[in-house]
Amino acid sequence: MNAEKDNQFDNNLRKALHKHTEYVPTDFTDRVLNKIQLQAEKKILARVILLERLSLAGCILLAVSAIAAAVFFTVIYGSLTQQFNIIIYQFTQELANLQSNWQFYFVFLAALGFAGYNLVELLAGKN
Amino acid sequence: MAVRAANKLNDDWLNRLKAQDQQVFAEFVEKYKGDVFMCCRTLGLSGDQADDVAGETFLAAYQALPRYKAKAKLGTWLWAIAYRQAVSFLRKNIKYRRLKARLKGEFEDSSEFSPTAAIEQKEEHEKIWLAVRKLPGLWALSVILYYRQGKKISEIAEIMRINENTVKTYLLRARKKLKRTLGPIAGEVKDER
Repeated sequence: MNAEKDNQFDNNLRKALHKHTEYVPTDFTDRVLNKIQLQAEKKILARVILLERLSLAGCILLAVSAIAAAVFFTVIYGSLTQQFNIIIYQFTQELANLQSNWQFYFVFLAALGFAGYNLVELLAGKN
Repeated sequence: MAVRAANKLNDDWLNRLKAQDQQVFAEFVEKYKGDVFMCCRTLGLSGDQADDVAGETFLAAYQALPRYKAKAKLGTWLWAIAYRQAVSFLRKNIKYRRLKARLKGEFEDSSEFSPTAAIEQKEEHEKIWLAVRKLPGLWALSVILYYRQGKKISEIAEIMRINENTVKTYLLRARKKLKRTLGPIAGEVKDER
């Protein structure tokens, strides 16, 4: 008897709750889709800003590297032209010289390469 | 043959949804927005709050769609997101003690639902709904999920991130309170089919 009453109560509760629906604004779906689109646009904008900042950092690094090279490696900087001429005519000897200064050339080329890439991105980037 | 075709259609729809197809996602929102609002309102959010939280729910669902692996049904998965968003909203906007009271607190009896109440009454099913809404949030949500959404105990436990015995306890207590409150009102709900 009690089980029957319980079942009836459950069924009535189920029926009553099925009848009820919550009010949802008619433009809700459109607003959700607009929010999603806005979010996607924000992401793209954030990426563009990041790339622009990297480009700027690259340019600054290039300038700083050039200044550092001029100020701290004046001897090497001063003899670059001479070394360049010697490299053409006495390749193996200058290769030994290069090997002893490889750290400087490596850092300078890396910085130059990075700055150059960012300059290209800045000037020719399609975003 | 027809069943196989229907299943293939469902799979295609699901795959397009996971690929974040805008048109399919719009259909998804249309299909489940009622449920999400129901979840928010059951946990005690106002109309405007439910609107905000429902929006955030679908946003979170959209971002999580590529990772949906169909371990749980789509509706169950969405209910879990809606529940977490609603509780997170409540946590930010209500102090801890009030939050605890709202979600787990004791039912406050109200003469509004007395069988001998005033003549001008809402429809029977609305009265029952209001009685359910007056329950502590977690009890009310368990009732909605079990009786209205037809979810199994295990699914409710997954949605609410509690164990199955706790769900059964909530349902038992909720039924007791509702029986006591509604009494004869819950005796017959007219079938208007």
